[in-house]
Amino acid sequence: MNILTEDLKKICDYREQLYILFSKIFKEEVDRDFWENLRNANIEMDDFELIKNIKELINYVENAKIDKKMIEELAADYASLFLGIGNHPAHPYESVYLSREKIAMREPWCEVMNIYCQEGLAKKDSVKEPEDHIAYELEFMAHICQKVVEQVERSDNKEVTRLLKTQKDFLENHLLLWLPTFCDDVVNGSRKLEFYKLIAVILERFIFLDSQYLKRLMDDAM
Amino acid sequence: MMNIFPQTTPTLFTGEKQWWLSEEPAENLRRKSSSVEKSVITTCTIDCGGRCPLLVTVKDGAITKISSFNDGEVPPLNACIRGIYHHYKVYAPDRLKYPLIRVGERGEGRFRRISWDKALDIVAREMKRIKETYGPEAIFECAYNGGNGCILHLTDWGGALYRLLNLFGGCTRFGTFTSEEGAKWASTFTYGISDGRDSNSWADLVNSKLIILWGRNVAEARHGSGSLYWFKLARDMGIKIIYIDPCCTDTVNLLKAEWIPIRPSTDTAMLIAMAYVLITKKMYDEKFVNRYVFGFDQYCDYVLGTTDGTPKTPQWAEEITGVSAKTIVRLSEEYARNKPAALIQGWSPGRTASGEQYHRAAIALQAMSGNIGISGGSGSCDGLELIGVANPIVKKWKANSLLRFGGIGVEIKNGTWAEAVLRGKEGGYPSNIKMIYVVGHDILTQRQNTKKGIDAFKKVEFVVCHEQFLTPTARYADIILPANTNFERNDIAFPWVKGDYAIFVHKAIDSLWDSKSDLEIVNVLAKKLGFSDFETKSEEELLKEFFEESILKEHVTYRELKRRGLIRWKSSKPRIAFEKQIADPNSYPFPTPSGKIEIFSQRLKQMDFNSGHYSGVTPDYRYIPFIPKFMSCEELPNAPRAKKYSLQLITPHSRYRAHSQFYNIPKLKQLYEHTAWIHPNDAKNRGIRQGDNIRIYNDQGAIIVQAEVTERIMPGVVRCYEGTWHDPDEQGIDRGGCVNVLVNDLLTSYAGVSNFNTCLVEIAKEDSVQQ
Repeated sequence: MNILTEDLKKICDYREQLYILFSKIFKEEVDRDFWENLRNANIEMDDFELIKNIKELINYVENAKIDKKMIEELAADYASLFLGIGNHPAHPYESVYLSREKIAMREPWCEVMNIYCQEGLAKKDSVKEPEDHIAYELEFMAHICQKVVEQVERSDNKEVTRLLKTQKDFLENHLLLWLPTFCDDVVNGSRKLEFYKLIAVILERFIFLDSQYLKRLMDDAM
Repeated sequence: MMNIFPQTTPTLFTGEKQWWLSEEPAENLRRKSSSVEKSVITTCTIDCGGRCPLLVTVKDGAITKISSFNDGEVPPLNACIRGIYHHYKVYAPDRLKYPLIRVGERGEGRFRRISWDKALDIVAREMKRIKETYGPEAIFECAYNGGNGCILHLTDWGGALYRLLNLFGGCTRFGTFTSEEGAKWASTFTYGISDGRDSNSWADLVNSKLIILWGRNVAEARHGSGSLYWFKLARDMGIKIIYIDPCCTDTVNLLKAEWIPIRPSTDTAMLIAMAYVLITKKMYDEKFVNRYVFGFDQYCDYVLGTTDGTPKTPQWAEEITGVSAKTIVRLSEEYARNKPAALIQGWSPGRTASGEQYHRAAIALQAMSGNIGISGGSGSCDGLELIGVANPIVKKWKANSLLRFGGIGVEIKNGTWAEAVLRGKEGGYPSNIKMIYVVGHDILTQRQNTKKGIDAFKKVEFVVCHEQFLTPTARYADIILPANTNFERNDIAFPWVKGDYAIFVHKAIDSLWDSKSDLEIVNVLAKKLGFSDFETKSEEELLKEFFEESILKEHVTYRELKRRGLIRWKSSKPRIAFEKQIADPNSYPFPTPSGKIEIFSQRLKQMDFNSGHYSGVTPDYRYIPFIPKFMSCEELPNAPRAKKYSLQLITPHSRYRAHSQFYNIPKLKQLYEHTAWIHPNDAKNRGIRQGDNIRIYNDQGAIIVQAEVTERIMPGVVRCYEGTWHDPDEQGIDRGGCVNVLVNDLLTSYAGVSNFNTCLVEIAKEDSVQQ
């Protein structure tokens, strides 16, 4: 089967946007612009559970009175969960979840650095986070989506297949191994506001569905 | 094929895309991914007296392994478990990573991220406002030993903030030490020295016929990387070791020592009764006393009861100390007969109400037995030989200052800091504090009366804190600035208790996340305060400069130290404190007014308390007796309060922490339970069994810990390690088990000694307590 279709291009373009969106949420605190962005975002996914959760998120975003106080509370939630200072943090590093030592910058961190490197990617010097931060891993998926789109345009079937396999492997060997636990921790650790809890639920489901999608795509391509 | 994605591609994200990864040319990628492995020699610069050389393996820019660096010399400087596991702290996911600003109420623990620039703008603005409104002394430099035993990145006196605040116009700062104030005070007023060179080297222990370890648990709190080696050597040579402590700690077993249990906070009484035995049995060294001691007659008058009608007999001491009169007599005789004998004082019996009296009485006994200035004898235990003199900054700022620690402003006692904040000038304290600047100091965990400390933090107008973790103290900050660790900067370190060596602290890795060294932070702040030329030199230039001004240069060269990492200097024979003063007293008198060892302190008597002195610490010295005396207090077993709270709490140091440092590291936490030792009799009376959750409480508060029922502690005493973080539940009960919730700050002695081991409590099984 030839997977070089317009559909694939569209889908990868959409997946890229989703990954960028999720990545952005973990990179920094929500600001007013991003809230507006979310309010207007038209997230469509054909999955009952996901539709339900996205609806909940959209409702939340639409009903929230986004003022200075709310932005501040969201930022405090972000710090409490992802900067590790709350009583129930969700440390956004693969190494903390998967290394034997349960601390930052161990073996899993080295592994993802190598994978990025193989795809010609490296961390920008200005970023202060280690490369296995959830935002990098999601961004990496977005980068590969972009490359798939490019290669579809070039009709390089082999490279498209390789890139899709890279994504599938990265999900299976990395994100899927820790992201569900991480998302559970976000859900359990979210005390004050619902926002990150809703995001975590959606992200967990999305990653699962995306891996299913890639699996089927690869199976069909074989 | 199932497709969950829509057929159209709606726009999801309209903002500017912000990439953390970028496409890099192959050459850059190679450079970035080259997994070069390197090893560096370095050490911890945390708040522990030892400095163990560490070999740190770094791969891909991250520490992968830390091991003890062994140079094959004697004594071995074996690293402890904190050093070997230090990377668990460096890479702990809960490290503070970015500057934070408080959201919500102070102390609530909610913060959000803020840029360095904005954070330091706020700090600078508040400092200027507070100085202009209330004067510079309204700023309290609450800096302590987060980083110490090094010459550049130290956080206490002489550190970057100390220098900046002196330039800024001064501040309120600590005028006393926390742990060793009693020891230092006693040496200053008895021997006339405060440079810590008041004891023989450990290598001299083997020349003793008898070693008395008084409240010094060397097995658990080694107090120096190489110290235990010498104690074991003495044991192997068959030298008798007697250990005096309320608890039969690991030291007893390890050194095959004889354990003499004693009630906490009563050691002075026993030492005075020993003096009584020596005097009445004429077993003291009369020649030594006549030649080298001042005030023996006055001391005799007190000991024999001539002045106050109470002879300080062994029976008198038995009532107070719980040590039988027979044992006191026997020990006194043994000590007097076995010369030379080393009486090694621990600091912990000195961390009591009037703890300086314990050190003074111990020196008096050593002087009476002629055990000072000789091989095999002893001196005292201030012992901080390098820490003070290695720091040229304080020396410089001391030159034109009347303050004890130099510089400008006013000084307060460590133990009553919260009172000073809450009561200010009206309460007799030297300043009205409006801002607390915390650097490397979990003061709420580490100072008496945690609750009062919290009130103090709530009262002031602004709090800023440099920290590595969100400690109970950092929770009360308005601005938190993330400090890096000793592996992320260059420095030169030395053991602050005994040990003739220095270590180059090689920077192993770059600063993690957005953390900075305290020096870098203060540098930026200085510029915002208008001191554009505060520090224009690089880290290396500063390090060289400080090194050249320190006494370390008498032993090593900078270049050699940097190249080799660890350098030891050796003398041909062990160093004997006061050897010259004893061998040739005419040429080398003791630096006291009488030129002798002053059991009766002339220096104290000659102090003019009405003259202009600037330290808020010294006026209270007027209440201290001229000779060592046992001073009872409201928190001893014979006091009325003991009817309600019948147990004495002691709060020793855990081997798994350096005070509060490392408490939050799970890798170390899993190695122990936070327990309290209780004697079976005390447990039985209260229906407490091994492993029960118990509440330790008094009027000040309550903590929850687990019971360890053991005969290794004497009845009437409870032992619970200090340094666990305060973690109050909704009722204010401390689930973290922080002992300082219970310790009374107002028992801080006139000399400024903190009373961590003078505290009455009661205990109860937790589920029997009415909620």
